[in-house]
Amino acid sequence: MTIYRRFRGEHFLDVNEDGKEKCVSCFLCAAACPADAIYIEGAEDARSYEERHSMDHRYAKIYQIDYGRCILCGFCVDACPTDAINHGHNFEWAVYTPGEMVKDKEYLLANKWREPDVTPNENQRHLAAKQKMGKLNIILK
Amino acid sequence: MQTKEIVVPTSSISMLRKPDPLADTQMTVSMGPQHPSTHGVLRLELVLDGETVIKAVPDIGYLHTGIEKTMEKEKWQQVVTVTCRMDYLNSMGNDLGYCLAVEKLMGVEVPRRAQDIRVLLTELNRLASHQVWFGTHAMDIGGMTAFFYAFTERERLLDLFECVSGARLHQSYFIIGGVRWELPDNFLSLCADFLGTYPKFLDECRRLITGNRIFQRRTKGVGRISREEAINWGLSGPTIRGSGVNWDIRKAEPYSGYDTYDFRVPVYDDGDVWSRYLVRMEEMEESWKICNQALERLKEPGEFMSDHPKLKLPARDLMKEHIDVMIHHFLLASEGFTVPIGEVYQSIESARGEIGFYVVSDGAERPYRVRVRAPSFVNLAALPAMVEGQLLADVVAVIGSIDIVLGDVDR
Ligand code: SF4
Ligand code: SF4
Repeated sequence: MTIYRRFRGEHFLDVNEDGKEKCVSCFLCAAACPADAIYIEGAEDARSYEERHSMDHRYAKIYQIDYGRCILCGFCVDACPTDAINHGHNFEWAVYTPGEMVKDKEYLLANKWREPDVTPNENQRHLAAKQKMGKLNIILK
Repeated sequence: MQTKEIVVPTSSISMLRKPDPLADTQMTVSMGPQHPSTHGVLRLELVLDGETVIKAVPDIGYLHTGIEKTMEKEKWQQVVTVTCRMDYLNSMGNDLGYCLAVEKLMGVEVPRRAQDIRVLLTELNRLASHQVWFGTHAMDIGGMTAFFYAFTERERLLDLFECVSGARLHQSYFIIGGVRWELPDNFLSLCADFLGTYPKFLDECRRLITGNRIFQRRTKGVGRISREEAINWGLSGPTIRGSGVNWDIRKAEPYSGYDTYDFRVPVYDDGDVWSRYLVRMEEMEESWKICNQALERLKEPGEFMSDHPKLKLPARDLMKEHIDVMIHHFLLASEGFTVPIGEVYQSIESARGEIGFYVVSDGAERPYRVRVRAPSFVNLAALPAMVEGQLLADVVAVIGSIDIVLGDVDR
């Protein structure tokens, strides 16, 4: 199926060229969210650049989006200063319990791998395999 | 020859002479909230004498969402995410009304190009909304085919919305000060493709329904409301224009540069379902004309967003380099901006009529109160006046002709 590039679907969290998470847990996306769908717990990571999780000393220990609340407005994407959070193109979410609608950081990081025109890094591929994710069967136009 | 008298037992004769137990008694029937032709969750309490409607009482509130209250919780810029959810068939129009109201309060001038984009998209949205009306109205009256034609064409419109804003129904594309992003590169050509084939579709619709004798018999003279009554009820949109009143906000109080577009406001005098049908059919044609003109203007480059420092988020590359720009971005995204103390009313012509936003600001980052004058609510109030004395089967025709959206009625 063909989907427009701008389509606002399920989010993914991005990483930079070194595979470090771009999210620095600044809480801007949570503040800009009209539906209060984002829950973040930040933490400090004093280790060196090579060892730590994110680009900076701060990283998101917990990052959750509750898709039972999210209205896919894209205000979080506009607000994020590091381009960490983005809209992907997935829209198939049928689940059996409300709890499954809350997606955690691992899932959102792996989500980038599903995008059709993305070459992911090892970690994302690993995470995606762990979540048993498949590539999205869509064509972007 | 002897004749034998036939003896009929008296008891049975008296029984025959007894008045019909069903004559002159009235029956109350609940139509909805799950009735397929009440367009959502409307419940009508109908008092019937046989098949004639004596009294009709709309019972609303089944879709109450508390959106007006929710707006008080959202920041000024975020409110557009809920305005489009009120009248979900005319979402762009709702966003436009709210944005215009706040822009008026702030005294912000929206760039020319942003206004043209807004006009183009609201008119496309009007087409989409009228197509839903066309399909469902015909289906209520018994013509299933029209529904498929109308929805197939609407699908193309929703695709255009997806292309430009990323969402099909709840676009949240208009924000205070302009629109959120520049149009995508392929949008204008896609739009031109769509508009190029649109007259053919309208023609098909006309051949399908307008000349249909059954449709005409079911709509002519049905659900009549006179000019005076229509004005007294405060009707608006195609419903009042079907009663011979030339009232269109786009002409009466032009906004977003509608006064510079060349279009006609169709008016029919009979005040019945048929007139309202004709008004909407011609309106689609006029909207198509406006779209073409707007498309022509959009070929010129320009700004899509006002550069008012409160409204426009800073450019991303600047933001990543300079700390002061970053702080500005942080404040805008987290706290939002304030709007001067005051109150303002702004109405626009939605697909259903006059939708007005009464916005009160107490100088904070959130609206103090937003009150919406919803066209469906007012038009629905006149429904009893239209259906009383008519047949039960005509009620669905009349509901279809005022084209209510329950999300707009209840808010
Ligand atoms: S898309 Fe909108 S509702 Fe969803 S998480 Fe982002 S800001 Fe919140
Ligand atoms: S996703 Fe972006 S806005 Fe949200 S906490 Fe991370 S860096 Fe901040």
